[in-house]
Amino acid sequence: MSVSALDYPLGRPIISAIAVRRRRLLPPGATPFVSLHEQVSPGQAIAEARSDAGLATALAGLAGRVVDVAPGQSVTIEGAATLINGLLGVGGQVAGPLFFPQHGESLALIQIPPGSVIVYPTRAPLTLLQRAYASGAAGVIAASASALELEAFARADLTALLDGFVPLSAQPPLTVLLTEGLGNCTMSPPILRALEQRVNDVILLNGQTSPRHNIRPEALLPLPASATPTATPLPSAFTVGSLARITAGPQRGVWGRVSHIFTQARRSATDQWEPSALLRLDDGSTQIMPLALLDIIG
Amino acid sequence: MAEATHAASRPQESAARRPPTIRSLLLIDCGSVFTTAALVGLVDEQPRMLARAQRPTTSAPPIADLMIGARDAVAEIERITGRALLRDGRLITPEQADGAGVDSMTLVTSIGGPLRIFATGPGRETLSALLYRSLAGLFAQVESLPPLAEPPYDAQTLQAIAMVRALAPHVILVVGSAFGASRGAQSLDAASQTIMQWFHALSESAHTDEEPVALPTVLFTGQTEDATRLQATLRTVAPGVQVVQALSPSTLAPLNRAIGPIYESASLRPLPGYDRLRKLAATPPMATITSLGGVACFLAQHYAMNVVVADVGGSSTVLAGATAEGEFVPGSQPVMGVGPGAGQLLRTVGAENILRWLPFALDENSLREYVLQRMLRPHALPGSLIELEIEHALAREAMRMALHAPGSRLTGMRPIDVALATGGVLANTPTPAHAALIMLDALQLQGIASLAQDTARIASLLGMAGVLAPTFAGHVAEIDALALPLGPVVTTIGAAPAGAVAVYATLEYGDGRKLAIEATQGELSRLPLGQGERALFSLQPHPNVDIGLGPGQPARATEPIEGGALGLVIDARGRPLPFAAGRDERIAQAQAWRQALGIALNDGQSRTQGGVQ
Repeated sequence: MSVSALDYPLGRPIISAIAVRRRRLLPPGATPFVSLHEQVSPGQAIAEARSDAGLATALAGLAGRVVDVAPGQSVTIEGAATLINGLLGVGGQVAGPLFFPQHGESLALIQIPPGSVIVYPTRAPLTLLQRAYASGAAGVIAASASALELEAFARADLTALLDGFVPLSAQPPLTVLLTEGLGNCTMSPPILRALEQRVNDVILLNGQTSPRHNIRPEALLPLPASATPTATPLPSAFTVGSLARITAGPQRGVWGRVSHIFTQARRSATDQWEPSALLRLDDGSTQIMPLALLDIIG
Repeated sequence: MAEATHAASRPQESAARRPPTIRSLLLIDCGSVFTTAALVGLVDEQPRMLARAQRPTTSAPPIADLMIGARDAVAEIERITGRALLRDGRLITPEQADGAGVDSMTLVTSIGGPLRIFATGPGRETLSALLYRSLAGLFAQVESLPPLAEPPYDAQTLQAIAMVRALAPHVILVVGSAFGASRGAQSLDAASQTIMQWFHALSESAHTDEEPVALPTVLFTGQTEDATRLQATLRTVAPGVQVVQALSPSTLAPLNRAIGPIYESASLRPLPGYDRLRKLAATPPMATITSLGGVACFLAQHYAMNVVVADVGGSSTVLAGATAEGEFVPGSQPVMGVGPGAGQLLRTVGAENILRWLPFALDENSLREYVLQRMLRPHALPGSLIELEIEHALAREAMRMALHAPGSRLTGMRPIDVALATGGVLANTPTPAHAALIMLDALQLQGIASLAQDTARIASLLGMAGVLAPTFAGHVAEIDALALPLGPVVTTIGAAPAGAVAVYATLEYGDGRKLAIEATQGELSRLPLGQGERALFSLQPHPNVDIGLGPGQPARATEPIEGGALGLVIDARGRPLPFAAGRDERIAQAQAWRQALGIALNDGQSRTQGGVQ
């Protein structure tokens, strides 16, 4: 039985190395500092714009080669990166160094470096988002958030945002990426590990999300040009041995390994007949889950 | 099988590729979330559904090729039946002596969304009823083209532009004055001005990261003089204004015929893999609503009854009605469903209208979270009975919105004699009672009707098949789409005093047994009458209560009626459904309705902020 998990545009939420080409949008009236074919590093300033609000500098966010320069508009860079696709995001493209708040530190008191991208491996409370914004952070990568709090912060109806009715200009200046989506989930260990290895590195973050087109928010962790990119999209069909995460119901967020795929539909928790797999969970127990409720994560 | 639309777009190719006698058909329905394939063929010389399979639709990365999802679904049918249908990606046709292949294939689709039409012009309001009738049966979303201020735009205007950009209109339809050129010239110029402003706004990117949208086709329906005037005004921005005969009660077809082909070119053709999938089919694709309309028309004419077929999907909701005379009476909400369309539904009806259907307490935030989860994971299903109840509450409201959609005349189609539940949400319920209760709640049937469930989930595929092989498809519709009769339903209108008997009902079974019950006002009741079992019934309503024959008028069947999965249901809750005022009372009410139909209640725990479990 061939059924695919289709929630991520490249097949998985994390891919260790891919070749990327991204257009870095410049602030209005910005002067580019780079020229065609120039090699850039992630923390390198590629443009600057002066306005009443002060000086705005755009960082490359990627390591690679400049392949297009549109003065006053954009600089396009080609390079390699580790890709993390979140499930839901808000805000546009930003670049900044990864910052991990000290464990146990009060969110009301933490010092957040301006321009940084904060990593928060559990549910991000509204206080964190507000403090990040007030401190001039560029973005937040969190595991999850409450829909209510995210809407309060974004001052937008998230359903309208997902339908494309909220233009980027009306979204908050702080970009947010939720790796696991809404609710109260913790970050998947592979994603957290990838982020932990890159503390203080400048990364490129984009919160744009459009489920109808399977556009998901992304964090690109730049890699040196010597990195060997993986061919994408990765296979998304369920196979025995796939590492999978439950996406709905009381066990949402729980992981396991697919140990059998049934050839006939099985009755689900809702008493419906669905193509299903037997999932072996971390604690050794097994669970029959409809394939429609599983994400392949490895 | 009857056809549902005015559109007479049955090209010669279908005749050319149609084998003389159809023995087997492969039917494919590309929905926005799932692709369904069904094989129909002869069993003991009778056309029947042989197998059906469903796979996720593959229209966006990581698998941006419609053919792959369709091929997966067909491969599953090959696995189930052991019959080869494709060879090297090509359909084996006609049916071979060894049983491989099929005689033909048809394609039904709702993917790509509806054709988005923005209407403007002096006749838009006055001719709106004719406009909707003309578009009936097409998968189209009609919006008003709002006026636009001159740049620089304020925040409100930017928001309006963002919304129109997000909707990406395919057609701007200018409806000319109902009274001819001289009466509408000024407002026609105003419409031209608005169109030019919109073309300017849409062709400029409001944000540097936004791609410019494809500019819509401009279509004009009205008088010739007005058309000339409009073409002259718009010649610089839209040189190819299409002109269609003015709308009138006797000229509804020209606009329908002009819009129909744009649906395929604007909505379907840009989809990855569409052209290859299209080449497999013997006829042009048909929108799901049109196909369902064909089935409704066939059943209505076959049984000489008024029929409604209901299908709630992830992105859209369709109610295809047909009168006994074969008139197609559609009602649809092309952008409201229980998946990606759930956000639009929630914004339109509000949380309270959805929460009122639940048999447990749930706060608004948890509902929002569930809706967002469904939007974020279009292929997911409810993961618990509580999530299933929320899904069904969304389905009720989506159907209610379709029933009352602009231009829908379904509310006026009385009585509804047969209501058929089809599609993933309504036909794949844990028990038949779930489907019956959703249909009763959402359609608010009146009088005496029969409910059926298309457990084979094939109805949406058969309308298109009916174009190719009417008798063949009609037989499958009658036998397989109406596979599970849920039973007759008697619904009361008006109200007896609270707690009083609304209807005395008596059943006389074939073996001489008699059963009498008193259906209390405000309650649902079931009388045992199994599938295939027959009985004579008589009903004596309270003087204030109408069962379709007038207040207090009794009914006695002259012919025995046949039962169904639920027996005979008496819905004495009243119309419109009276919801209790308080939250706890409303929950108790929803629980009582479920218990009356034998639906097991979930754990009943209140869900508060923090997520639906």
